Amino acid sequence: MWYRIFPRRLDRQVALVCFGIMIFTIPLYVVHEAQEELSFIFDTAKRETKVIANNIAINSIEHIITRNYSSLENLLLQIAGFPDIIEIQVANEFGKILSDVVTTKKGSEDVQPRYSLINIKVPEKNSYKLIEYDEYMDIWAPIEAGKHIGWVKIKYSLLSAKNHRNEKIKNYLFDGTILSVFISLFLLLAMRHPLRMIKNAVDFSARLDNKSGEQLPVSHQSIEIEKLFIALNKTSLSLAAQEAMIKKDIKDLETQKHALDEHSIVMITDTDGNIKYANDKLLEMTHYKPEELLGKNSSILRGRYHTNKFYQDVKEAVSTGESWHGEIVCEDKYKNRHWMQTTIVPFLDENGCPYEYVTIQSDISAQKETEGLLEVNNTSLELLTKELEDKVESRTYELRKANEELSELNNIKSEFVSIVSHELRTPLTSIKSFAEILEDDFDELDSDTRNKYLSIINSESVRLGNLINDVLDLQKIDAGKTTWNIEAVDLKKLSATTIELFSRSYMDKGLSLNLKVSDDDLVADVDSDKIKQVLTNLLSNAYKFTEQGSVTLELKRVVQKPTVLVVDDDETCLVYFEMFLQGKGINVLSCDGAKKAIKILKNKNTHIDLLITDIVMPDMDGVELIKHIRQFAKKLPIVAISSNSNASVLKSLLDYNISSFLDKPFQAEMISKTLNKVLGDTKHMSGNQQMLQISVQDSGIGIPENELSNVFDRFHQVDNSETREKGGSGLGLAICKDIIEHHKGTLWVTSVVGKGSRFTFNLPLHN
Amino acid sequence: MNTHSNKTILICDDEPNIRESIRYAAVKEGYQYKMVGDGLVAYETACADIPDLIVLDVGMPNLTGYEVCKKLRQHPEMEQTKVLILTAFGQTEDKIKAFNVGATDFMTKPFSPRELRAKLNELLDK
Repeated sequence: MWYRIFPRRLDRQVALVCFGIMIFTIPLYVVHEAQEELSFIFDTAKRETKVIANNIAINSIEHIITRNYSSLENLLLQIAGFPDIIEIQVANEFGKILSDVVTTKKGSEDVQPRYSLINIKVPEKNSYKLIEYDEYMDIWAPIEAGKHIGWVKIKYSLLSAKNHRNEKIKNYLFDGTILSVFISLFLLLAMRHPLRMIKNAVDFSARLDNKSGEQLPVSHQSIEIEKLFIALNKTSLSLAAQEAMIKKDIKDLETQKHALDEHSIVMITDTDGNIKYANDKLLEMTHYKPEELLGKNSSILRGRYHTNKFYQDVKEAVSTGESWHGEIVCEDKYKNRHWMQTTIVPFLDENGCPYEYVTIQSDISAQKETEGLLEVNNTSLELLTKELEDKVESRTYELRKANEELSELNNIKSEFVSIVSHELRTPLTSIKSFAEILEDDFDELDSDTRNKYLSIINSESVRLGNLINDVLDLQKIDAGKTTWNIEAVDLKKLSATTIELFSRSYMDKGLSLNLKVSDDDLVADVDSDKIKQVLTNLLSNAYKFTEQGSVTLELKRVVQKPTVLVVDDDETCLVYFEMFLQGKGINVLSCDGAKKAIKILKNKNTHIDLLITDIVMPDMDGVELIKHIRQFAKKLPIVAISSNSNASVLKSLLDYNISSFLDKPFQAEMISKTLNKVLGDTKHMSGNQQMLQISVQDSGIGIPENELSNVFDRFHQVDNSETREKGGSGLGLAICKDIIEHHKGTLWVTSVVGKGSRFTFNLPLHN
Repeated sequence: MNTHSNKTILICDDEPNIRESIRYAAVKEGYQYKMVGDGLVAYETACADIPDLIVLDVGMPNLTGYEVCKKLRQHPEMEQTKVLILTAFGQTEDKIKAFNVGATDFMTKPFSPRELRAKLNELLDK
C-alpha cells in the first residue's frame, strides 16, 4: 500500500512532511519573487527607454528640420551604446527612415549605422506606444515641433533581464533545497529527545502490565511530556495498588477455597450442568476419578431417589440467580446413596445471568441414618401399634364373625333339625297309623287291605331308614367327617356296574337304559363309592320320573372354560370385558343390574367361576350386593371394580372376602394379572381344562323352569303331589351336589317340562 | 262304621299314605270325605262345596295349610267352618301359629288314628 513507503517513526514522519512542504513552497516563492523582480526590471527599462526615446525625439528635432542627418546619426550612435538597446530608428511622419543604428551581436560597444531605404510602418496615433514581444519590445515616441514631424523607435532586448531572472531562480532554488534539507535534519535532531521520551513512556506503559509501581524519571523538557509522565506514574501507582489488592483478594480466596475444599464437597458446573471442577472430597466420596467426572454432566451423581421434577425445581430456583439450600440424595460410583446438605450458588455475569454454579455439599448420611433409624423405630412402633390395633380389630371382627356364623349355624341347625323332624315324622305317621289300624281292626279288614297297609308300613319304614341315612350322610359331609377314598377310578367301568344294578327295574317298567361312552381313557381321581352314590341317585330319580321312553347315561371328555359374570351398569364396560375375556377363552355372562346378577348367581345350574362387579349401581349399592351374595355364595371369587370409591367403602368390602380390585380405566395387563391370580387359585378353573362329563338324560316329566334352581336344595321337592307320591327324602340331589363339588366338579340340570331332564356333572380327569 | 252321617270331611295332605289313614278314620266314623293333595286345590274344593270339617296338612305344595286356613277364614261363608290342622312340626310356636290363622283345632304328627277319630267326632259334634 502507498502508506507503506511512508516512514513509521514519528520524527522521520515530521521531517519528511516538513521537507515536503518546503520543497513545494520554496520554488513557488522563488518564482514569484523572480517574476516580481523581472516586472520591476521591465518597468524600469520601459521608463528609462521612454525617457531616452523622448530625449532623442527632442534632440533630433533640430537635426530633422535642418536635415542634418549625420548629426542625427551621431546622436543615435551615442545613445545606442546603452545596454540592451538593440536598434534605434528615426523616421519621418510617413515612416521613411531618416537614421538607423543597430547594436551588433558583439556587444553594445559595436554600434553601426544601417542604411535602409525601406519605409517602416508607423503607429496611426501620434502618441507614445509600447509593443512587447517575446525577446524584445518596441517603443515608439512621436517627434513634435509644433507639428508632428517624425517618430523615434527603440528596440529594447528583454533577454538579459530574463536571463538574470532565470539565474536568480536557479540560485534561489538551490539555496531553498539546501535549507529544506538542513531544516529537516534539524527537526529530526530536535525531535529526537522528545520522541525518546515518548518512546520511554510507551515502553513504560507497556511494562505496566508486570512492573506496576515503577516510576519514570520525569522529564521537564516539555509540559506535555511532563504531564504525560506524571499521569503515567500515577497510573502505575494506582495499578500497583490495585494489583496488590487483587493479589490479596486472590490469596484470601485461595485460603477460603482451601478451607472450603478441606471442609466441604465442592463442585463447579456450567449452566448445562457439566462438571468443571470437582474437589478431592467429592472424588473421595463418589469414588470417581477426576477424568470420570470432569466434563461429564452432574446428573451422573443423581440417584433415583428424587424425581426429575425435583431437579428441575432446583435448576429453576438457581437459574434466577438465587442460591439454593436443601438436602439432595447423591449416588456414588457404586450406587450407594449419600444424603447431602447442599448449597448451590450461581456465579453471575455482568447481565446478572448465571454462568457457573458452585455446589457446596456436606455428607449428612450418618445423621440421616440416625434420623432414619429413629424414624424407622418410630414407624415400626407406629406399625406395631397399628398392627396391634389391627389385630385387635381383626380379632374382634373375627370373633364377631365367628359369633355371627355360629348363630347362623345355630339357626341352620335348628332349622335343619326342625325340617328333619318334620321329614321323619311323615313316614312315622304312616307307620304308626297303619300299625294301629291293623292292630285295632285286623279282623274287620279284608286280606287285600291288610296287605296294602302292611306294605305301606314296610315302604314307609324303608323311607324312614333312607331318610335317616341321607341325613347322616349330609351331616357327615357337612361336618367334614366323611372319609374320602380318592383313587384313580375308571368311570366307564364304574358306570357300567352301576347301570347293571338298575337294568332289572328299568326293564320291568318298560324303559330302556343306555350307556353311551364317546371317549376312551375316562379316568378320574374320585371316591368310587361316592360317585356310585351320585350315579345311583341320578338313575333312580330318572327312573322315578320317567314313565316311558329311555334313560341314557353318557360319558365324554369336554373342554371346560371358566365362566365369569360381569356386572356393571355401564354398557361400554360390559362390552370391553366381553371382548377381553372371550379373547382369553373365557365364557362371559354379563348383566347391568345387581338384582339380575343375584338371580343369575342363585341359579344353581349356572356355574360362575368369578364375579366381576361394579360397586356403584343404580338398583343396589355394591356393598349391599356383595353382602347379599356372600349369604349364599361364600367362596365365589369376587373382583370389585373400585373406581371412584372412597377408602372406607373399599375397606368395608374387604370384610366380604373380595379377591381383588380393578380400577377404571382398565388396563389389560392388570385384568390379566387379576384373572390369573383369581382363576389360577382354584385348580379346576384354570384355563381351558379337559374334564370328564357324565350326564343322565331321561324322557320323563321334566322340571318347571322356576324350580330348576331349587332342585339341589335340601328337602326341596318340586311342588306337586305327583312328585310327593314318588317318595324320596329331598336330600338326594343335595348330597350329590356336595359330593361332586368335593371332587372339584360341578353338577347342574337342564330340563324341558314334558320332554325330560338332564343332570350333568363334570369331574377333573386324572393327570 | 257304627253310624252313618252325611257330614263331609275335606282331607288335605300331600302324602298319599297319610291321606289314606285319615280317610280310613273318616270312613270308620261314618263321614263323607273328599281328598286332595295340594293347598290351592284344597281351597278351591272347599269354596266349591263347603265341607263340615277340613283336615289340613301344613306342608303342602302351592299353598301351605296355614295359608289355606287364612284364606278360608277370609271367605264369608267359611268363617266358622271347622278346620283341623295337622303338622309334623310339633313345637309350641307351630300350635300358636295354627290358632293365629284361625284353626279350630290342632294335631301333631305322628298321630294315633284313635285320637284322630275322637277329634273328628268332637269337632263334628257327634
